[in-house]
Amino acid sequence: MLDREVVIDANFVIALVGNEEYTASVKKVYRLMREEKLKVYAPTFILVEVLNILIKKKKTSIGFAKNTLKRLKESELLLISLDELIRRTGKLEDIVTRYGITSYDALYILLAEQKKCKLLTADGELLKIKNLTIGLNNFVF
Amino acid sequence: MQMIRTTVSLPEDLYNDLRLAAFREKKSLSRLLVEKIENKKEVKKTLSVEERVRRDFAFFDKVARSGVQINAVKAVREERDRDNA
Repeated sequence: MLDREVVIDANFVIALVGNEEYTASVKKVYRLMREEKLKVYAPTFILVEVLNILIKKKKTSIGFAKNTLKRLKESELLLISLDELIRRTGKLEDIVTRYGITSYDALYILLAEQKKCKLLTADGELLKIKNLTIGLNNFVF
Repeated sequence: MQMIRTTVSLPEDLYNDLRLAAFREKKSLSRLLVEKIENKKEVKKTLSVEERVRRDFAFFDKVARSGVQINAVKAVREERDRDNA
């Protein structure tokens, strides 16, 4: 099945600024997004997670972290506000209890459900939700 | 075009380089600066998708080489599970 719209989560971005097994796959998706061949969504919360991981775990400079976020914000990535996602849908709690996941994880699953597309992720916990996720290395365009 | 006179602070090295460039190109420092800024705006506007992608990837590769090497999946999972620890 061809996917023309996907949701991404923070491990997509962290792999993008990393050098690991998923980096080549995420770069392909990033290019498709920039070429406007693929619609890519993420909740604005992705910026919080990415910033935290870059600074606290990767220990990159604040300049690199700020520039990474700037590039994401200026790209074709469609950022969906938490207000739109949580308040308007009122379904975050349902997702948390239905799948037994954290509320952070639930934000991405909720967005995939809302947009009727799949969450592109490498996270083992989320990939258990087979109907709403697709593995980073299994993405076919 | 209406011009506005203003004062800007520049690092000494940059100021010296610009003054030298203006002298070589037989232009005023103001004219040189305006041209440089206009050119930059023009480049930004006309960058092809390929060029933007290439620049983004070059930057992402720089970030990749900075700091410490981490596993993206593990780092995000730890971040999301931090409240459950």
